[in-house]
Amino acid sequence: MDPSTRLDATTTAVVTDSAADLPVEGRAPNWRVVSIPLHFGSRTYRPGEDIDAAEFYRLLPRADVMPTTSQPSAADLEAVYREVLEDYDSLLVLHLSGKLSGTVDAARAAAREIGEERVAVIETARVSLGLAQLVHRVQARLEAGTTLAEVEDFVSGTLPSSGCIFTVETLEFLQRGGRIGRAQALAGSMLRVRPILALQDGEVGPIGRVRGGHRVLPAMRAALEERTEARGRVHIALGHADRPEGLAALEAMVREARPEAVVDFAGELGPTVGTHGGPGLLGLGYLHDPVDR
Amino acid sequence: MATVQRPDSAEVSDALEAGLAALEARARELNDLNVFPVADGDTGTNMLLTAAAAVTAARDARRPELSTRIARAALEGARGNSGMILSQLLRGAAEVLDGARALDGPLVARALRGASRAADAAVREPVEGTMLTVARAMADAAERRQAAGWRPALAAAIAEGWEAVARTRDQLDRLRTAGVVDSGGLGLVVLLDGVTAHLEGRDPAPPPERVVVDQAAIDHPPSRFRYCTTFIVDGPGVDVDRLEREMEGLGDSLLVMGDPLRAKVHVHTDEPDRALTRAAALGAVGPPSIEDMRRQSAERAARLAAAARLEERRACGALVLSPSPEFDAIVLGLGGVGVREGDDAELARLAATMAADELVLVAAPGRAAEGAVTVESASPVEALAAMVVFDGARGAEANREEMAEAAAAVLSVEVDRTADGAAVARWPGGELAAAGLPEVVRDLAGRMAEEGRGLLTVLIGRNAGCGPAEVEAWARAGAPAGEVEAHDGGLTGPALLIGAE
Repeated sequence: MDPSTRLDATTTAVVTDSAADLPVEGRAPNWRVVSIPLHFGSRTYRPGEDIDAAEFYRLLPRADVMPTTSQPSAADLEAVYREVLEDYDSLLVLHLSGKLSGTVDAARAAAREIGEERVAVIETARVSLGLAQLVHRVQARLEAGTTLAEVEDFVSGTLPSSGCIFTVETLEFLQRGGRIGRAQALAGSMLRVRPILALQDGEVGPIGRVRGGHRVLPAMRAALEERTEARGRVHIALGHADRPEGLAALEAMVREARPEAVVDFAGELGPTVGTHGGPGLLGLGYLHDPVDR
Repeated sequence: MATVQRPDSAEVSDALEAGLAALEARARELNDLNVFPVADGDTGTNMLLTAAAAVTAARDARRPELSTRIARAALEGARGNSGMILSQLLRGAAEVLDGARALDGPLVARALRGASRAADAAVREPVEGTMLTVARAMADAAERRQAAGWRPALAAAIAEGWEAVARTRDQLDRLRTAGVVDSGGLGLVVLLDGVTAHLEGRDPAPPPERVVVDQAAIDHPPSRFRYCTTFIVDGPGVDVDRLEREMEGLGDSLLVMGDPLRAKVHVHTDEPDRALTRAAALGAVGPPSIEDMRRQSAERAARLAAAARLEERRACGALVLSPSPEFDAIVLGLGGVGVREGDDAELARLAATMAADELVLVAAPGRAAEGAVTVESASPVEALAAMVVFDGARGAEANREEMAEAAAAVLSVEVDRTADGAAVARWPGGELAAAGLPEVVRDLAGRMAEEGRGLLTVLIGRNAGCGPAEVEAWARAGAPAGEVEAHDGGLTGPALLIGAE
């Protein structure tokens, strides 16, 4: 696709995947969410199609074998892209970070098959709420009219000013999935500690650990204040994994720390992210959009 | 080239001393390797104590009663499975050596065979891949070379001994999983190599540079039973078979050895008292040795993890002055290494060997270590709070600041029983008394919650007589909305030490 191609929401579709925790409500008609296959015992599910968050967290405590995720094949993706292209002129593909999954590689292969003049695969370096926020902000650009070059600049340019801050009940799920990276140092404690983690540039890193439930939100707040600008608008997304009671306090904390914040959406994290974070995860995504300045 | 020598008691004793020294030099390594039959990490210590008893007897005794003395002393001094078996190996060898006139190849072969047979006969359920297997292999090798003289026979036995030890890794599943050789078998070869080295005028085989044991293999509970119990039963007229039957059903790893004059019992059990009572009906029971295997195992796991921590390349390491092995284990999980309070030499050694770029020392005010930034902490619960915020990826000064702040936020409360059976909690500027430990913990939790201290961390003293679950329940009764976490702290001071934050 030529970088200067004019793109808008009526002619351009956005494809992402189930690792983007986009709430089901409020999805735009030009979005398409591909399922990342989820393997639970001998069964393979397609999150968003035959299993939702509620069902997933109901099954999880009873499972003998812990779930795993794989990636859609290039052929699967090609079929989806072709289908979408029947209704749209162009396609922006925003899958989860290439550091976490090979999906983006499969996407590139699929795009080559179709012909790259209509499909643009962009490395997002994001996942979960961060990827969902990205889709939201790209949509805002499409609605106003934009170009591929602008979208690409936005995606890579906002990497330093966006990310996720979250806490988990246990590091077990991140460890088992091998998605823990430098946060490994937080594991292995006999004392019950709650890790505070960051997701940035597609990697999970440690921010710190606290003991006592009353210290979790202050620690997340300190991290938010350190990573976002005090003045001006910051886009926030809130998410939980089977811990809905945590959302209100999280939102109150955000509003206190950043009064000008816009909470774009809040909701439950899906089975794909739930497989790697485990139940009890509570987190937020933040993003400064240059157009707000 | 069979040399004719009379192995008099002085020579036997000197050679045994050399074997003992070799064993002593590698005792810790043997402890670390110990995963079978029970991963309690004490094989080196047990073999050393057993061999030491035999050596002392050899030093004082005169022939011809040397073998009886050695056998008896080894059995009396024997501790643990490996010690009990070693005592029988020594007895078997001593009996042969006692009647010997000259040191030659056949004597070496007969002594090793005698040792192997005595040990095999004494173990009720022999397992291959252990000391028994190694002893048998050494006897076989010595017999093959006995015609060549005592030196070649011994050399062959030692060479085959090392091989046999290496093979144990594939003979026992537990050893294969842990990636180690049998510690008792290794100890046996180390001992005999020490003896041989002395006779041949060479140095004993050097130990490996480091011991690698798969952590997972030693992380499981060491045994179904908790206490490794050994004691002597004196006759005359001890019915050894009946003694063994009486001990059955009390636990496992049962070994009963000796004769009607003096027998020794080794059993892993949860009821040491019952074992002693039952034995007392059959003879005079001597002072028992009762080792808590769970504790031994935790100590060893901590030692191995600490060694790995020391080698870790990171921006900052942490040393924490610690009251106990239990506390060491908690500290390890938080990224630090515990050093026993008062052991300044160990502190200096660890500070010097830590591979991290910088170092913090968590200690009482006024303590210091070369090259370390001191984080002041007035009690172990403050030290834990400091370690929770320790981050090995940032520098010592940044760590010190946040750690000191975390430590200062903790209120340390000492809880103890009083002479009249009640209990009291004391903290700087406050005190609270109640009818007993449960009541005082409950009331304290309520009081602390009212003062905004909703997180209690309890370290349980060695003589507190209660467990973590009980203590947590007491605290929850007083502060249902609070958080509480209790651990065995191995403290020798107060019954409980509580950090309130």
